[in-house]
Amino acid sequence: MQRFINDIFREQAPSQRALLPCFIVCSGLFVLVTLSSMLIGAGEVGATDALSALVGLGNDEANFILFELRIPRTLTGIFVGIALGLSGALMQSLARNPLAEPGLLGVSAGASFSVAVALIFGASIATLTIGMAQLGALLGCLFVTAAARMQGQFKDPVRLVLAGAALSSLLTALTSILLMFDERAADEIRFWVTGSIAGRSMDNLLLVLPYGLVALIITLYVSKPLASMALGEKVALGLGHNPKVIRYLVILAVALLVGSATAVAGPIVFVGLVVPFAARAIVGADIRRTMIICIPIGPSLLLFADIFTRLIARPSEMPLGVLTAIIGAPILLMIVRAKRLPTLS
Amino acid sequence: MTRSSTHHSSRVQPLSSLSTEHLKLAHGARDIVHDLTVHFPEGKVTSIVGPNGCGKSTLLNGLARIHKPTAGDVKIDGKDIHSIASKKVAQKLALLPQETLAPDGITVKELIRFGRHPHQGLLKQWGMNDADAIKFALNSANLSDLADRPLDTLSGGQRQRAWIAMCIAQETPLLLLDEPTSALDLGHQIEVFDLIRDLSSEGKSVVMVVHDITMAARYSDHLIAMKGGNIIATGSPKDVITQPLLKELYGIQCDLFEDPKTGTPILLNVQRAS
Repeated sequence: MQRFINDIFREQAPSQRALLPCFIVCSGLFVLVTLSSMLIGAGEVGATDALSALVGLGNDEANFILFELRIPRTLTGIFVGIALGLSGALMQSLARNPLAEPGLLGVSAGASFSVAVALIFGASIATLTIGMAQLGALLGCLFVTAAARMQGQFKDPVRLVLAGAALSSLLTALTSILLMFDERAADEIRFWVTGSIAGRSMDNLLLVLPYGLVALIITLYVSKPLASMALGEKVALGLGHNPKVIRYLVILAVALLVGSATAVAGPIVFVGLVVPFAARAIVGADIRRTMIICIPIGPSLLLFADIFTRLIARPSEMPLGVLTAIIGAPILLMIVRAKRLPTLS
Repeated sequence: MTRSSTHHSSRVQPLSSLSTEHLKLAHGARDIVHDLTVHFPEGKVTSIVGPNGCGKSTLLNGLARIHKPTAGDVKIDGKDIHSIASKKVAQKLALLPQETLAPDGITVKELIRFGRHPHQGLLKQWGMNDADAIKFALNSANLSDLADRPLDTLSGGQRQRAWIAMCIAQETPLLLLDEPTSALDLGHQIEVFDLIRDLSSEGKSVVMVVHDITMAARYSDHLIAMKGGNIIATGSPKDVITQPLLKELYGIQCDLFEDPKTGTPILLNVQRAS
């Protein structure tokens, strides 16, 4: 396994692969997982019933399950997967650290925590929750990038993650304490602590969609200068880019993406780590190529994990955030243990 | 000059002038470059030489608008570079810094493509002109056969030529290089200096920081000798490199000879000045 990981990093091929075929294969996977997500469930309605509902021949129960539960859930998963995958890729590129992941570094926890604070102070309006999530994510982002820029202290990629993990667990603990004081249902506490895409209504998704679109536009705008910053900041400047402005735009995009994802699904860790990692293994480290592949891979991974949560403890479900942690933690260890971290610089 | 004659006529840039006026550069409260007024001759290779800490790299960063002046101006064609949009400056002036980073697996061609950024915009992404410029840059740097090779599989000299090719693709009349040969062995140094000479004879003005004074003398038309943030001599290598100057710059004494082939000064019997 160790050798396999090392091979991925040493092999020169990924950056040479043609982007389009890779994208088509990944998109095929995405379509497959999306369909499965609509057809497979923890409950009584099986794949055949769901399929007949999908083509318009279903019974009432199957129709309800499909259109009221599984489709919103799947669409939420697609949004969250894209948002977390892209935010991970952006953050890793900015921090020049393949381990920099919004979930691990406390950005998601920051978003979650500020939502909890808002709930304590009596907020219940969905829009306010989203605003608070964005704000918390932004503060988390600023904290993390400030830490990443403290040279010497955090030059070692692993140390940044350690600092982030400390921040993250502190914020998560505070979030659960705050929510306990509020005597909310255990379910709600669990949602803001571990994350889930189950039972989310379409309204939530529609509310965060504009923020996601703004983030996407910013991402499109910064992708080229950000790629040039990988050659060194002086090179980027020499090519006529403004690294300072680009850095702030990237932070803003990450905050919008993580804030929106957290507002609809709670904090979900490791997706931002695993998705760009896979994308780089497929098409190499160029941020533009990585992000294009993150778009189909992110939702594929997230929905795959979500389908798993429905099947693993039937007829009940496992929280998605727990499962992504179970998948992500060993991958983090493998990346750290691989002799040479891929240089994103 | 000969190797790229086919593309030469079509991709030559008009000359631009580069100069500083009462330029002052500081690191925090410490002045590094004091009140410098200098003109860099068009179409020539100018080397800035001097001991460590004399301010030569800071001056180059100042010229490249990376280091903002505390007073005075850097001017391109008479205009202050900080008053021109950074992208417009990048169409006039290319920079190869001393420290560069290459992402894993990036190929020569991919690297060179970055040089086109100043000529592209949101609506103007990639055109025939860009493709031609890449081809020309590959040709000029003699890298056409290595275009698809990953950078980390090349020799140090080839790699440095690829970085310079990125600057060539930028199609600027001015090229700034910060110690372009410092990490290279002798053979690779010559390889890079030869390329720089070719670029100059194709009409580029080159300004570079060079550590090795013999190499600077051999490959430059013009030398600027700096000490303590001031220019203490400028002119042709033959005029600048004298025994008193070497003593002042580096605290050395030596015998000076003339290279029988190039006529440039050669230092022999170098020792610390007593």
